[in-house]
Amino acid sequence: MTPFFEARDVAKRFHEGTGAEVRAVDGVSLRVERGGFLLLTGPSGSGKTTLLALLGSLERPTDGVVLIDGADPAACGEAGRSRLRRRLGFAFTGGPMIPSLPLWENVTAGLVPLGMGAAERRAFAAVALERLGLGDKLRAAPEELSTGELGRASLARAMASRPEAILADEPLANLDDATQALVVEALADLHRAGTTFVVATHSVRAFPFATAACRLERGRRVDGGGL
Amino acid sequence: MGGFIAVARSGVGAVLLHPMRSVATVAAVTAMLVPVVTGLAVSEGLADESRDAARFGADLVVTGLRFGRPAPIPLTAMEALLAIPEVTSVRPRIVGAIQMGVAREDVVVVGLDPPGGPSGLGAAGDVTVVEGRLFAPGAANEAVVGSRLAARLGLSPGARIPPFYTDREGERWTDVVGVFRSDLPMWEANVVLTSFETAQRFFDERGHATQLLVTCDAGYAEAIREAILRMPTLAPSLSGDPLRPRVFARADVEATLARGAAFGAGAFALHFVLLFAAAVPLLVVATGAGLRERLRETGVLKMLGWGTDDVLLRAFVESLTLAVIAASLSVILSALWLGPLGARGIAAVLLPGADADPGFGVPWRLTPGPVAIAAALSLAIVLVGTLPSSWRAASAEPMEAMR
Repeated sequence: MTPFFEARDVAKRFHEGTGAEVRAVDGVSLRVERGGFLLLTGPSGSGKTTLLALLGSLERPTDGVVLIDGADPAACGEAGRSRLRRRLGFAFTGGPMIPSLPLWENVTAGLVPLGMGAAERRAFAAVALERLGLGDKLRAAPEELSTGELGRASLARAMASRPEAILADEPLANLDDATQALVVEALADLHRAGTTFVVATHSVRAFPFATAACRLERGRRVDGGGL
Repeated sequence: MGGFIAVARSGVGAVLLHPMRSVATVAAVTAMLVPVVTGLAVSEGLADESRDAARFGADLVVTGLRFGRPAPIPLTAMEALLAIPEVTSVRPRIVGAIQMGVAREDVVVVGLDPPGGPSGLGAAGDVTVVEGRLFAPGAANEAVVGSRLAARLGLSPGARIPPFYTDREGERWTDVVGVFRSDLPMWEANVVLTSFETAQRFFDERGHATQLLVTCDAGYAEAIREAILRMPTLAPSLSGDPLRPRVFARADVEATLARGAAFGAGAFALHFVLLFAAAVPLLVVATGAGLRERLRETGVLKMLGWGTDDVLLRAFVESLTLAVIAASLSVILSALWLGPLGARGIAAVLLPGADADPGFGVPWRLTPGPVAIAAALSLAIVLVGTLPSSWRAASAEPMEAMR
């Protein structure tokens, strides 16, 4: 069976202003089966966010190959990569949001190229935000939200398009216990419905239903897991 | 198709997302377009009036040449012209130059047929008197002066110009009985209109005209022109020297006017090109200032599955909307400036010899052509100004754009 996400010896290197090379991700291989729930763990700066971006084709790997449902984004062309991204949902810490759009438009901006009308998008946004405890923030501007609310809004945006897979970066950061439980419950529901997850987190115990885990340190996989 | 429309609609909405950037762009483009649209409108207005003047004027204008130089034509020549078949009327006109006032202003005196005749410069029927009345026919020594000349010399109805001329019967003065609107084609000259009879006395050329205005049956102008040119002399003289005819047809006048109008429009187009060259770098700087914001926004949209073509379509529609707003605003402002505001300030730039406050109705007409050109060029300016930042944002990887 084809895994939904597969990384083969993937590396991403950046160059700092000083010219020094930074290996954000260094030769990581992993696979996430369709409907799986992979936890990415590791200390801050270990490359979790970069690996999420590589898996979601938000960034091109310097070396190695990433496959999404068997397709290589690097070989798809720009239009093909956009089509692949439409099958995914992304939730990053702190947003990022388009500051001049109200929250409901931010949450459903990904549905615009699909031709969905404003009324329908608003209804989608209402459901997604309500589920994460932000039902009263439909018309709020992103700048009016706290960091924790922005994280949940980002997750609502990832959920709104009902994607096949969600890549989430620290979805429980800056949340109180009750809200963390609300978010975990929402993710568990989606997982049970068949959505594939890759979640970068420090709160491993919050996700007892996770199917796999991968630990990164200094950009390298250190849990000993193979493909 | 639904997605295309939805993305395009989001481009219209994007205008409101960045109000400062939108206002700055519209203001810059409007500031460039208003003088151009205004100039083109005036150019069209002048061309219209010129065409009207030619259309309602005589079919042929005959002047005389002696030794290759312009010479007065004896009125007896009128009979010879009237004898040509299909000629319906021949009217004399005098156009001559004098100097007036302490500053010795160059003035053109036009001696016209009595009012009531056909319109055109050969008659007074199309002259709009804004103050006083028209001159009386015959040797009444009455004149109406152009508004510009009246303002310059402080003349108004009731003023007397002593002595306006001296002829073999002694010094004569002339009463100013009216002021006429000195629009095209006369605003450039200081003009005095008077009766043909009075004009003969001004120049002490009794029984002569400088031009004969010939009207004829439709379709015969060219044949009559050739017939006149075949005449060995317009009128016999005592010395026996021939007075050679020179003939201008209405078609000649209209062709000249068309070339003039095209030249005027070309001058405004050149003006636009120069502004365009200056404006694009400004817009590039202005939009470059918002590049970080645009990059981040584009990164978010691409993360959410927007393609590069979607992002570019959105940017194009945003630019198109800004261009349409700027072009519409330019047309409205130009119409306001030329209409209710009477072209104050810009008349002196557009019309040689006119004052900043022209004192007469500057002719203008906004036609679909210049408006469409303004809209298209407006779009070109905005696109050229915003394209680099839009392209850079659209072609970046999402994570790189959001970083």
